[in-house]
Amino acid sequence: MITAVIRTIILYFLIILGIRLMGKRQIGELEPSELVLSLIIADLAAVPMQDFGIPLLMGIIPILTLLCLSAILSVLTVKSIRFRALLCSRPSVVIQDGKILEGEMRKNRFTVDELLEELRMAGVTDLSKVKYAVLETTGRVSVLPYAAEQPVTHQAMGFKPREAGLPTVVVSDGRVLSQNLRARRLSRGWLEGELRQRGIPDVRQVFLMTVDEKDTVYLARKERTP
Amino acid sequence: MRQLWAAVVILAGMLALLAWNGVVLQRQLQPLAEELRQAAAAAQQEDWDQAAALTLSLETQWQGQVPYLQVIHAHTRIDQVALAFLELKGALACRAAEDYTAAALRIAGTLEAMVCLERLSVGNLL
Repeated sequence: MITAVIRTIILYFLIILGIRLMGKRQIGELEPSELVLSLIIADLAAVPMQDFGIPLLMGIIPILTLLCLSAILSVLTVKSIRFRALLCSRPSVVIQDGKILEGEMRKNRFTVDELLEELRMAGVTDLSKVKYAVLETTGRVSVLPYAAEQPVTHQAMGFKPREAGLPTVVVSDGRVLSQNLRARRLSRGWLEGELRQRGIPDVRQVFLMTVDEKDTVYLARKERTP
Repeated sequence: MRQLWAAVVILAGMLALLAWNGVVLQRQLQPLAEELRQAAAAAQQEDWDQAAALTLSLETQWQGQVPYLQVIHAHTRIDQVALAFLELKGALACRAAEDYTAAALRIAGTLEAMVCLERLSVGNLL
């Protein structure tokens, strides 16, 4: 049974590597080829995990082959629009200027029930408010409402709000992320000063600390002090 | 582009290694299969000294191949050959020519099947 543990560890890390190489998509937004890849890899890894009579290489070689093919295809889809359309298909406009395009729906085998479901998930219940709806290659629907139905913006109201910065994590679970601190051009001394201001003697008491481009700090203490 | 070339190199490398593996297996297992047939022929002719000498040589050669084969082949196949060798030695001890021949040919067939599996052929692809 120790064999089972070691085989599982090896294959598990191989699968994680494969998913890392697939990029930062969430599972729900995979292209068809990526979804197929995920399913096949899972199946290939399970067989040598359970059956010790099958050499580990019989799982590793197909998985490695699929990962290489996936990498090749992903580079080709970036380089060639035609290849991208062939592999991933193109987005389809299913609602244009408020009108449902039945031909596009039929071509994509996309039913009205599915369209309504996607619109509801986008927070739209009234089709008359939708100017465009695009069926993406991932199967999700992007909804663009008419201008009059869109939420009011600061610009429309004539306000000029302060720009928010992008927070960078500088302390995570009591550990200082020096690389992020340097990226924000901040020093350890600055960090300690901020902690002192907030009455925190030790960085290990900090659960999360972020700082953005405007030097706005967010800090969350740990529930239990070490 | 680096990712593309890395993937192409890995894929090409794997194909080359596996093709080389096929050649190595052919060179190592095919002679064993032929020797097994010679041993079966010797048993049929009641030349038990020759059959015993060949059996000993074959088993030694086979034991040498096992660690490598366990990495690339299903273990059930390797276990089948190991069991068949036990039958072979049993038949040799009893001087049972027909049993010896059957076991020898079974091992030879299994070894040739293992070689065939590693070959790139239409049959294997389909």
